[in-house]
Amino acid sequence: MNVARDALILQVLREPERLRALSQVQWALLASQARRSDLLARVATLATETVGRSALSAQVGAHLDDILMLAKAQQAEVRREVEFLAQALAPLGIPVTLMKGAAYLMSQRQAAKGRLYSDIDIMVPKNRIAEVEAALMLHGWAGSHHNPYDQRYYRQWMHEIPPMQHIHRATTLDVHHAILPETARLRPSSALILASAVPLADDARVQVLSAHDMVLHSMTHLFHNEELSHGLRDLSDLDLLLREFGAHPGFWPGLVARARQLDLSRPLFYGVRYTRRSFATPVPEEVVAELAAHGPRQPLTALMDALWARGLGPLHASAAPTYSAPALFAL
Amino acid sequence: MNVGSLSAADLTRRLHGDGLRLRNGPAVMCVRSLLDEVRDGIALHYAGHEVPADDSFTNFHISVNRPPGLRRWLRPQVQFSVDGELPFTPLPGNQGFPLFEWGMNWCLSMHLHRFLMVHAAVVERGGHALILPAPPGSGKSTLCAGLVWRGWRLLSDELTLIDPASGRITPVPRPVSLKNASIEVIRRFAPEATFGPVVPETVKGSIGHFSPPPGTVERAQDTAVPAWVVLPRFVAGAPTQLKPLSKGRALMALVDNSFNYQIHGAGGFHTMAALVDRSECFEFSYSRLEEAVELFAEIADRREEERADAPRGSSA
Amino acid sequence: MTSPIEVAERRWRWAGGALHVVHWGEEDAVFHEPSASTHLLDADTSLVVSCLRAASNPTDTAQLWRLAFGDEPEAGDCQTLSESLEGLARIGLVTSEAS
Repeated sequence: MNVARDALILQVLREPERLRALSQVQWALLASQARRSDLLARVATLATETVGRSALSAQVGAHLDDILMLAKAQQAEVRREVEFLAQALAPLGIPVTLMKGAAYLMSQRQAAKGRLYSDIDIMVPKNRIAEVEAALMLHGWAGSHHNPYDQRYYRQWMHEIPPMQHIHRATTLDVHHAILPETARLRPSSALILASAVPLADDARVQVLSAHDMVLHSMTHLFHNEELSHGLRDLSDLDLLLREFGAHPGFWPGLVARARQLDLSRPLFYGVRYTRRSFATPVPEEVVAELAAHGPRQPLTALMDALWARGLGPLHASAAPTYSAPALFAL
Repeated sequence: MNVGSLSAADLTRRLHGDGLRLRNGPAVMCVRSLLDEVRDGIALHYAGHEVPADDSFTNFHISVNRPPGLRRWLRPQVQFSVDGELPFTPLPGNQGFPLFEWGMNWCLSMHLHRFLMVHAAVVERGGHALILPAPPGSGKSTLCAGLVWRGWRLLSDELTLIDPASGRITPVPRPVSLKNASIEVIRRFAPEATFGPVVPETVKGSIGHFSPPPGTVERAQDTAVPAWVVLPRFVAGAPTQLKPLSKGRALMALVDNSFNYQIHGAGGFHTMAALVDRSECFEFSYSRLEEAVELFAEIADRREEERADAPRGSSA
Repeated sequence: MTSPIEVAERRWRWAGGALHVVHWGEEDAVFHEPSASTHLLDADTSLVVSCLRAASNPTDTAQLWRLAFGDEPEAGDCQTLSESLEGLARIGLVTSEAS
């Protein structure tokens, strides 16, 4: 099932004020669409900010409270993990360079609003991966995917080592050395990206990508990710990033230039195109015009548009489920 | 309006169409299924359950149906979905009703975070709740099933919902599931119980359900104060025996059996600590259900006497 | 397994952060905020943790025994205590360093 352009979840993300007028049945539909797209906590946050908790019916309010409790617990867990990571890497003199959700949270971006987290992504220089892995293992993170095929898949072809899991806390960590796999056509320079990373105001051990790189990474991640299960969520994150950064003068020309420098003009073209279509993200006209030259030829654009309309949809019904019901509810 | 007041045609129409609204304790499901066994199970076991109005909020859109594809003709399967997500692998075709029950338990235990939730049976008598946390194979279900036919009210056979603010337990009354030999044990123990068809050969053996006893669903709003935490263990040939369990170990048992303890953080720790602090905690082994049930009746009576003897003005 | 000499030379420190404690006679249940972990400690272990929390400097095993139990550690006492402390280190309540 696709998320149609007029789907309630899209309408609400575009115009949170619409939350004021929703009936109970519309709320149920919205909540269902939102949960499916991993956006329920974001909708809950928007509801609190826009209409206020007390304006919601008891049932809707309680339903949103449930997911906000989960989001709050996950945020606390991310903060704890970042602290443990900083302690683990400090002896190596390597900063913890956060990416994606953890980066939005720790640098207090709007994109952290109502975000749910599954794992933490960090980026380290490729030539120090072995040291980093060793330090992490010393601090309780264990490698995964031990069979030789998977190991080669990750280390030789991908931009990350196999996911690590902490033996006590069971949290998951993805250690990247680039933002795209070795096999990708585009080769944005990790050295340039790491060199532009910005330390947190209150903790120099931890840093995040520069505003431009944060946006470009988000766009690149969206368009190269095999599983589109977080398509709409990632697009929403991107919309929030662009609205926040776009308010700063110089952001947009700088973004276009940086994309060119990192060979990421094509993802920038798509990122701008699809956030505008989905959320009417404000983008200066001259930027849209300039990016047109970086898009593919027309037939391909139409195809991408169609794929994207599908990709925004929730988890496709054929996605493999992982649990067996009786095992979870054994008597 | 409850399920029992719907005509057969209306029940079918809702399940086949936009969904049957069905109350599940604090949550409301919107249930869709084309399967006769699901409709029949709902008609049999959920007659007393509320059907909220068509314009009301629903917490979960669930469906139990055959997955699309050629398999539906060769070797039919059933699949559970909630809000478009497929949390489980499909099951063989005749397991629709057990899957419906497992699926709803999953929904609640994964999402109802306003409560601190424990994988435990919980029953009530005199306003006091007896909590039975236990991993599978402990005999918790058989014991719970016995108790609810001997004077205890069923709050839940699977999900203990603790309200962090008050420490009280909220009911989620639903059909009780039993497996294998327990089904026959309870049929004999409680001939008045309404059992549905037994579904053979699931991963857990044969599964059967009986309807919530009279008075259970009607009192779904009545919460209870925790009074006992008991870790049951069925051991063939064992004497009926209650051994004191330290508060600390009772706490850890509740934590280990909790679905969402981590989410509640320090607050969850204090909620659990307060619960065991006010409760008598035991380990319990048994082999004879009749004796087990009698022992718990004595414990409940003793609690009642203590309350009656307590000076005026003191709290229970 | 650490040798007796190594045991005597480790120093222990409370890991820091808020610790919620509920006392129940012979046992203490604790919730450690920085690791969001819950544990059941017997009376002796709980006493050791209290001593570490009160100490401003890292403490070696023998000294920790004296502080907690008020007498001189005998043969094997430091080994036993060290094993407990290693367990606490694994769950994140204490850290250790070589002297």
